[in-house]
Amino acid sequence: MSDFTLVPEPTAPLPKITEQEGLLSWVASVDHKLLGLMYIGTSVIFLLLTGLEALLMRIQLSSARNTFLSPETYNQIYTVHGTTGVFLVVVPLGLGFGIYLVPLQIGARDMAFPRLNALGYWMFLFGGLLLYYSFIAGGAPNMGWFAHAPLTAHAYNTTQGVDYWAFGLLMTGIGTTTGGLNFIVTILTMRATGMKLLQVPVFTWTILVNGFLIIGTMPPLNAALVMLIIDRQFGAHFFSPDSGGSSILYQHIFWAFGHPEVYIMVLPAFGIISEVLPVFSRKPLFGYIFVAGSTVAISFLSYAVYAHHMFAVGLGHLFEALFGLSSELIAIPTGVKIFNWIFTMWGGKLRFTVSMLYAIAFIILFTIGGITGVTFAVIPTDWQTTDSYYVVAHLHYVAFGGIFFAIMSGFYYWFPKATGRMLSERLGKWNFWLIFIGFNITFFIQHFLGLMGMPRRVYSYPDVANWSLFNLISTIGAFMMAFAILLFLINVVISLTRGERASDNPWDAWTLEWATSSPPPIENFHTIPPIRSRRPLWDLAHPEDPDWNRSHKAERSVPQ
Amino acid sequence: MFDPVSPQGKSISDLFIIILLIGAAVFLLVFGLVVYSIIRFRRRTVTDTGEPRQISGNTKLELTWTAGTALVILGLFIPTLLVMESSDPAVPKDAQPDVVIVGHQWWWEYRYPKANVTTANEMYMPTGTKFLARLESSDVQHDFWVPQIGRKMDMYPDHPNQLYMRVDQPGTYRGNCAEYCGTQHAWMLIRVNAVPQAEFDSWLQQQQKPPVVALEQAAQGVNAAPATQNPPTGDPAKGKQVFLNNTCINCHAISGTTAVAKVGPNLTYLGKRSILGAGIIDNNPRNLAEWILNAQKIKPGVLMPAYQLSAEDLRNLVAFLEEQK
Amino acid sequence: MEKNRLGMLCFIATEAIFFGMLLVAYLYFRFSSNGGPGPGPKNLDVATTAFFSLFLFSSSFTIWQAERALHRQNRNGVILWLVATVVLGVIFLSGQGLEWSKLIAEDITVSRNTFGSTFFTLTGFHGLHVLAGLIMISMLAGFAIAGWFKGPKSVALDVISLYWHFVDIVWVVLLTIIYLIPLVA
Ligand code: HEA
Ligand code: HEA
Ligand code: HEC
Ligand code: CUA
Ligand SMILES: [Cu+2]
Repeated sequence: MSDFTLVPEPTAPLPKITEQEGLLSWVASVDHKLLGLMYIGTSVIFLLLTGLEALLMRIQLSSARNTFLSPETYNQIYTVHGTTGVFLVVVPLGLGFGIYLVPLQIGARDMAFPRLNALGYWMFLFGGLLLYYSFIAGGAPNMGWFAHAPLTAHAYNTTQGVDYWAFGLLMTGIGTTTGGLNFIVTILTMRATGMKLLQVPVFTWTILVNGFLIIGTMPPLNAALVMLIIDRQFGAHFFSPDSGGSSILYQHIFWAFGHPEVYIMVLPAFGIISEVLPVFSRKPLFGYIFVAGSTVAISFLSYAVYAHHMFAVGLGHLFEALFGLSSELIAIPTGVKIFNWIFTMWGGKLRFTVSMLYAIAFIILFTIGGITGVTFAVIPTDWQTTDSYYVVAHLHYVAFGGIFFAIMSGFYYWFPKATGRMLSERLGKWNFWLIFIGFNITFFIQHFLGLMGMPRRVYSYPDVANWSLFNLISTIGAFMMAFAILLFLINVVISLTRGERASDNPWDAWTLEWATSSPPPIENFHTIPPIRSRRPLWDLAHPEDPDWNRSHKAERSVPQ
Repeated sequence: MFDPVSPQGKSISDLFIIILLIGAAVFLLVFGLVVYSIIRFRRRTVTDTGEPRQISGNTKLELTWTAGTALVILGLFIPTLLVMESSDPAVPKDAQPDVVIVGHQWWWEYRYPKANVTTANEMYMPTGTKFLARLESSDVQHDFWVPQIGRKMDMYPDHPNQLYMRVDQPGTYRGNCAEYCGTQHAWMLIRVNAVPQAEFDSWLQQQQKPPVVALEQAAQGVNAAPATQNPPTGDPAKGKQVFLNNTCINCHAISGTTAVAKVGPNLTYLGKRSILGAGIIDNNPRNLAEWILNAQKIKPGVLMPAYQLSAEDLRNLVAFLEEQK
Repeated sequence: MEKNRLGMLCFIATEAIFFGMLLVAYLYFRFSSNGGPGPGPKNLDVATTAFFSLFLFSSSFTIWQAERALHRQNRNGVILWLVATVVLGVIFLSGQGLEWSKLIAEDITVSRNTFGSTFFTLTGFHGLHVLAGLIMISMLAGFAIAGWFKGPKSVALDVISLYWHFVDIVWVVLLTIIYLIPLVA
């Protein structure tokens, strides 16, 4: 045996999962489709938990000097809410979509390392469980999702919450890293014959860039966590100022992770939007090369902006100005994307499915969030708005209005492929409009709260004019969203049991995953159509006007 | 925006309004294009299955919006630099701070090193001049933020910061600790009393002298509190003994007494303050009594123990503390 | 590129950044507290560590020889060179153990000061990586003895030797920064 690996990865199709194999078949599975769905399902459960926590916070904040939650409980809940939202909802949703879709989109049988893939999922799950176990084990973490030192030191934090937090994130962090590595190898080495690297669907492209972003970004988090753990478990002095350590060093290392992390969250969302908009506009993506290139530009820039989370630290104007400039520059590649999406719709024949509605709403909400992001990059305004509710508004506009809307768009788009059933469009429109309105009610008003001087992370606030009223409005919006999400769950359950059967290609889409059956067979494809352009299924359906032919003559200006 | 009362605050607020206008323009452009596409390019009939023209890009357009965005960014960056200087002027190396502000879990210490005065939770500053603050922390990270006065600035145990403040309009300005610092971060409110220079000087002079309590005052032949003012019912002189005989002195200081500890807020001239517990309750005898009996109930997690005092001791103690005006 | 090799390269990239961050912490404290009082690099026994380092460096050579032997399909050569690599690695690790126990005897520990914290974290994580490498190479040696390697190429050996060279390079960097530069500076 000349090609001997320590742990050979399975090469034959993996056994089909059937009911009689029961629970074990899920636990032991290494099939990317099953793992992808497990990722998504688990993240949705964490979404409900983080949403439940958000509702508790919103009840507490609905009036001044409310006593619904004790300060200690509130602080634990907001910390776990943020940690869950970032690490256990948005990031794994992106990973889950990638793991499910990438092999299908590139015509591969599975991920490059199926076993590693399974390991990644279990690390994510157990990391999350460890975090939540802290509620039972005498106190959840209570220092905010970025855990600035020295509040995490034993002297100020005597419960084990910080330890559970650190170990939990270390586990999910390692899981995420394996995912990123797996994506890179899969996309670079396992594309179907004929598919050039610049012919992969845009979603796959963003996942590839995301893979590189992940392997470059998770190590600083792991390093910060390891140092924190050594501080707390072995009495080291990395982050404790009273014994020579530095609280600001922690911030540098954490945010060197923390900022690229937000692009790890958003890149898959960009990918989803770039798949959905063309299909429902009935046109190819406008400026593929520019969308692909700006994704790379964003990921490079994202390493150079992290200190914009530290403008109030007092690091000197020159240092701050450099990071302010780089943060403002990120608006350029992001703007390129926004305009390309708009011009994808321009001149098309738009079909307003629920998936499309979410995608259009994404463009609008993400632009709002991006613009408030740029106001932070204008450093003096950050000096006023940082650590106020204005930041809370910004982060939910990009994370919920942006990423989560994109995820929902992708959910409605690929649900038929994954399950063989259609989601109800009627219920879907209800949940879209409720969530869209509820979202804006909840978070738009928080901009004003921030500008009126309300700091974030407060369990209670004095009775200043309008604060109670605005907070109450925000709370009402949150309950609207909760209702909308319940509708969505009902829609999923109804569709799974009695939904209309989906054809293989219900949306007349053009990428490879729609060439196989819905749901795909265990080995993904029986035959793969010839790939001569970015839209193999268009070429198949329109032999009179195939992409590969058109790009040669008509639009010379478009690089192919 | 922010209703600024200082030149620094004003320059930020002006900048912010410009940025918001630019942001609104960008948003309206995006929003307008999206809405136009939705209306103009929607599929008219459900049965229409024809495909539109398959256009996949246009390099000229791409360059246009890349350059356009870049120009707007440049337009943002230059005012950024200018306002950084005007809203946070550089501090000369050898400048001595007028006030040292120290964040504690969860209250503020204000030291005036030039006058050797220490007070807590309510800061005084003169209007119309630059006032240099040095920001420190005794434990975790805090952040000093009074929106009307200007920028916020973090406070670290290992990284002192300096901040020029200048207020032109006399008044009381409120703010909050703006960096999460533990259980009671929410109730770490700031109050800055900006008063004309003369008033500030006389305040400082009063603070330099130890407070004299009612009975001692009589002995010294100074007029006691006017009769119109409803005097506290306790005996301040006895209250002083209660204060000194209890563990209060392990944490608090009152100038002119043996209490010199710095763990909790300095209580000299407590009667002049309008709030207790860094803003969680108003300062009046009733609230003060409740605070001493059980501060935990008012401010859960607070780093001050509860006291079981007899009704009389408590009355006297409250009288003593409130009498220092 | 072969997928296992690419995977290992990605893994090495993450590991390099991880060590880089720990090094940043080390340098940050060196520069900010300026040596200060308390133990620092001056308490390290440079000569002994340099001596033991030679064993680690030569193990990079031996694992390369193992690959060449495999290429020539020389089974005994593979076994010999792999075992040699393990022996050299174990000697290096014992040297590290010796140094740690000496320092701890002088009461220089993770909790002594920031130098202790960063020093033990860096060398500790490097040691763990050496240990993991040794376990994998021992397994390879076992497989070779069992006759599973026929050559002329093996992905497993190829990938693990990449890893081993990386661990070696990390030590070159650590040795230079922690031990050698303070000698000059
Ligand atoms: C989840 C994803 C996500 C995304 C995509 C972004 C995107 C951006 N973010 Fe945001 N950010 C967060 C998540 C995200 N952020 C979170 C979670 C926090 C809070 C962390 C915490 O403290 O808890 C945060 C906080 C945060 C801060 C720190 C605030 C503070 O605490 O003081 C800053 C400062 O610069 C910032 C900036 C930006 C910028 C410049 C962008 C840019 O990428 C935005 C670019 C997009 C656009 C600009 C819109 C589209 C462009 C056009 C239409 C072109 C024309 C536009 C112009 C010319 C302006 N963000
Ligand atoms: C990225 C993911 C993410 C998501 C999806 C959300 C979603 C929401 N967030 Fe979150 N939030 C963060 C990330 C996220 N947040 C972060 C990073 C912070 C900063 C934390 C920090 O400062 O450390 C934060 C902080 C934060 C604050 C500020 C807290 C503070 O500073 O004191 C608030 C306050 O309003 C808030 C509200 C909400 C609301 C109302 C939602 C809603 O959109 C939620 C809507 C969803 C639901 C309502 C779920 C539906 C639930 C049900 C139907 C119940 C059924 C339940 C079961 C059966 C279990 N969030
Ligand atoms: C263990 C230390 C400790 C002891 C003992 C202690 N205090 Fe305090 N005290 C504090 C701290 C800390 C605060 C600030 C609490 C806060 O606002 O978060 C405080 C606040 C106060 C305040 C409010 C001050 C202000 O400006 O808001 C008063 C009044 C006060 N203490 C009186 C007393 C009296 C009277 C006693 C004794 C009977 C006492 N304290 C004993 C620590 C202590
Ligand atoms: Cu002090 Cu928050
Ligand atoms: Cu950021």
